[in-house]
Amino acid sequence: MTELTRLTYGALRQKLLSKSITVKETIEAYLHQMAQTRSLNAFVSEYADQALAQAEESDRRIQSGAPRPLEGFPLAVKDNFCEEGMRTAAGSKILENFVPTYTSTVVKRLQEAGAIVLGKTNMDEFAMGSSTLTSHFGPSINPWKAKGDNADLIPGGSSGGSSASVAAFSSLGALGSDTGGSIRQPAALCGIVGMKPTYGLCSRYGIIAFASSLDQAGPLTRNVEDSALLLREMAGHDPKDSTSLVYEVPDYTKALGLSIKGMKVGIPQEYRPAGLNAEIAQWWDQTIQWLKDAGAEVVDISLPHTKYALPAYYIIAPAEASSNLARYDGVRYGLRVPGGTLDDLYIKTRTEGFGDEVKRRILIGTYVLSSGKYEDYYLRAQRVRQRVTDDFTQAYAKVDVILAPTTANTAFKVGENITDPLAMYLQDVFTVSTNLAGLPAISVPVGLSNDGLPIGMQFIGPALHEERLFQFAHVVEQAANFQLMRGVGI
Amino acid sequence: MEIKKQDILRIERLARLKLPADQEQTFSERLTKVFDWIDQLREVDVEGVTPMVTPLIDMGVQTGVQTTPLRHDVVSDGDCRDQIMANAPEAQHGSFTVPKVVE
Repeated sequence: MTELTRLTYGALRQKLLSKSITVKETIEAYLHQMAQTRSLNAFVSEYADQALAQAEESDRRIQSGAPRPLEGFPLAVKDNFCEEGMRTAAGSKILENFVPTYTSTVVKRLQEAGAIVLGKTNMDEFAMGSSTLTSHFGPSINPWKAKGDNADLIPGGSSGGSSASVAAFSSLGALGSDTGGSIRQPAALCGIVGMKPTYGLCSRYGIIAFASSLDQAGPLTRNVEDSALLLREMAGHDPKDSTSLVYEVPDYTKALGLSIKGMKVGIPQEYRPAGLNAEIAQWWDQTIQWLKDAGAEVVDISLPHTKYALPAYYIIAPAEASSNLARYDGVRYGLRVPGGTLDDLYIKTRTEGFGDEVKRRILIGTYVLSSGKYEDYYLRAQRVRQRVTDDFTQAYAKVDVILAPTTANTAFKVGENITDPLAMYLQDVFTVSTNLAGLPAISVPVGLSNDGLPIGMQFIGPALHEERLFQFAHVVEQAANFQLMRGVGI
Repeated sequence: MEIKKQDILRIERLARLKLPADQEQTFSERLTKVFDWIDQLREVDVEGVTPMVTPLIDMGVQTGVQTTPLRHDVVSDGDCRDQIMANAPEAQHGSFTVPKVVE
């Protein structure tokens, strides 16, 4: 039965449509695997009964000869996507008992396309973190272990429950959200594919907000094709999110297998600082070689404002977060801690309901928006954001796509909590520029470090060029022939 | 730039939350470090640059795709008071209740 969980969606679908297996058997296999890997703490809610009921409905549709595009796709969903009637906590104590009255648009679209939600996955509190260590529900564990060391490793974050689940075969694909790298970084650390689409490609309606000008939903999968299949169904304009683009979504799978001969790949020199992890640099060079072998032209480029992206991000994201998180006041939903006055109630509720990292970011955001600091910090950061964006615009006049490492390091141990906030923020150093500019990027696993841990490379593209990213990612996937199954030993 | 404990107390009040009392001093030191690092933004020449509030403006120009479309001002949702109130920690007569605010 476990073999079922090893199939790509394409292979699974073939078996489902030829009726050699049923959706019910598939979902049972995934629920079994979910139970077997519970020690990873990838899921915070399990939807076994609902998933099995939907599997029967999916089987009926297949029997009647009317399967939908993702019929029976076993999907995990990050716990910041609302689903009607199902507790959605975003990793926070303040939402521990919150039951949404509506479903997020992307989840609804995937369900309408036939995907079956197996459960909700763990995450850093309000998506603020790169490890799941800030989750109220405890950290998730990476299914990978370093060679000769049994210590638990973090799965990355904030979509760390999603990445752990996909890598541990307890879901075929998962939804994540990416504000500063929260899809790509955990995908890289777990040896899977993570896609952060163009800002506005997918609706944000029903996703618990972190930083509204940066947040974007996307899929985490074990291969590029499954990523393209999920994104196609998720994407597209939604009247309930006015920032979602009016755009006709193409069939991304058509880009897979297209030649990249003669296309130009930019290598940004600023992503190779002195002291870059030598193994990551080595795999970057290897990936460049694969692209050359496939006929692409590799060009050195400069994105001169790269070093300013991270400090700008750590003003803009907390500023937007402090505003978004003002809604948690203990009055309308979520935790309430009684107080003698209304202010007292607010303060007690927020003090008890938010974890330390969320509090710190709200305070940083409050500070940079406060009178006397707004111009000097917030507006300056937004001007720098424009400079970072202009760097990309100039680069895409010369190249089709940009290639860079996704992370500066491989997964670290759960016990090695980073206490220095600057060291923690540097986890996002290669990923935040893309969010500031609103561009799409995809992380693909390329190989293993000497101690046997996965390393990912990301392609960054011009706005709405997801097809091109899938095209390049597929070339690298073929060349790398990355073996997830052998790595996680499940 | 030094961020003092009294600055922390001020922003805690603005944000309506409190750090554990023993963390306020550590946090002011940490924040000083963070803002010393953030201060490198002063090196960037941003003269005449309009603050970028969203990626959508550049995107619309570059891709020709319609951004932030308008819609008709009509009711598309509603009539769901009881569902919404079901999440209220305390409610009476279909209203959220809070401590008395007017004497």
